[in-house]
Amino acid sequence: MKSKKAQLQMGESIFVVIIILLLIVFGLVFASNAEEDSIRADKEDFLDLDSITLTKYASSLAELQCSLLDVTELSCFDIDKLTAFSNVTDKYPEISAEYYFSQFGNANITVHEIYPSNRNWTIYYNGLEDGEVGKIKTTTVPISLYDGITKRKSFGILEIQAISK
Amino acid sequence: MMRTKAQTEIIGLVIIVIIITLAMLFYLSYKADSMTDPSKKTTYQTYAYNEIATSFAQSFLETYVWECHATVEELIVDCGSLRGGRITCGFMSSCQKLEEVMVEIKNETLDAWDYPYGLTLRLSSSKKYSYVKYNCTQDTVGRGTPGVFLVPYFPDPGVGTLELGICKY
Repeated sequence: MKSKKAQLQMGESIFVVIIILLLIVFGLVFASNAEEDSIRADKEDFLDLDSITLTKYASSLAELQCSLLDVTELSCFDIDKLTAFSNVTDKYPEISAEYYFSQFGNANITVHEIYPSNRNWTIYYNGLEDGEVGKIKTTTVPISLYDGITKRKSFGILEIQAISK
Repeated sequence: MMRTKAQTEIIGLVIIVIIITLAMLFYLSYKADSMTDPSKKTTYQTYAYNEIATSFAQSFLETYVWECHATVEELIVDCGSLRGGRITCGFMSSCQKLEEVMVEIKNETLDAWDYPYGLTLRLSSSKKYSYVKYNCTQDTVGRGTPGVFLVPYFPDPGVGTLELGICKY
């Protein structure tokens, strides 16, 4: 009789310990889920900030900006400079990607002419390789495209894809 | 003795229930705090609204329309001023061509990007071209600071205004 009572008591104690352990495990699972959400949100924020930095840098690239007598113009790219730059990027993609990697990182940058004609120039390409997975944030900024021969401007957009691997 | 023991056991169970309830309350309050306020703009959205709005207006005004041998800014002056009508664009007037160019560029950019926006070109008190998508008007909460450009009709009186505002997306 006494030993049965003792066994019951022990059973109760073990049961209580198991319950407490389960509570601790659930608590750790909740906490880690909450932490994962927070880290994911931070990653999104960093990608957003990277996009902004990239956009500001790309839109003020001295190699492409319109200039007259050393005076540069904001939100304006010279078409002749664009064509030359794009040719170099197409001809030597690895060198171009390596040279500008410290400024642009993993990104794709293209310029599209919208009006009056449709032309495209690839300025920088260092995107995802086959099979790679990453998050892409696309920013588009309207810019003017200046033709040095006709001295006229057309409407274009600068498209920047910031990539987070 | 047995009654005291039973009471102690019940108190223990009650404490466990209270701990579980408190843990759930903390988790739910954390989740509620971490959910974003729909009207709160991120840094990226604030930058994007302002940059796109001002860049669009500036680039649009500088665009050259070959059929009219004039920039969009010159077309606005010709269309809005009292002594307008000096510029012709083939078989179209400056106002017709201006509207056509505006619609074409808007379609390829703002509509293609699927932004909620309000684009208004005000030529005079009675003449304006206004395009709104997803009900993004001046009164919409969350609308970014609009890019506003003034085009004076000097020496004629009056001024045209081009305004683009983008709402939260």
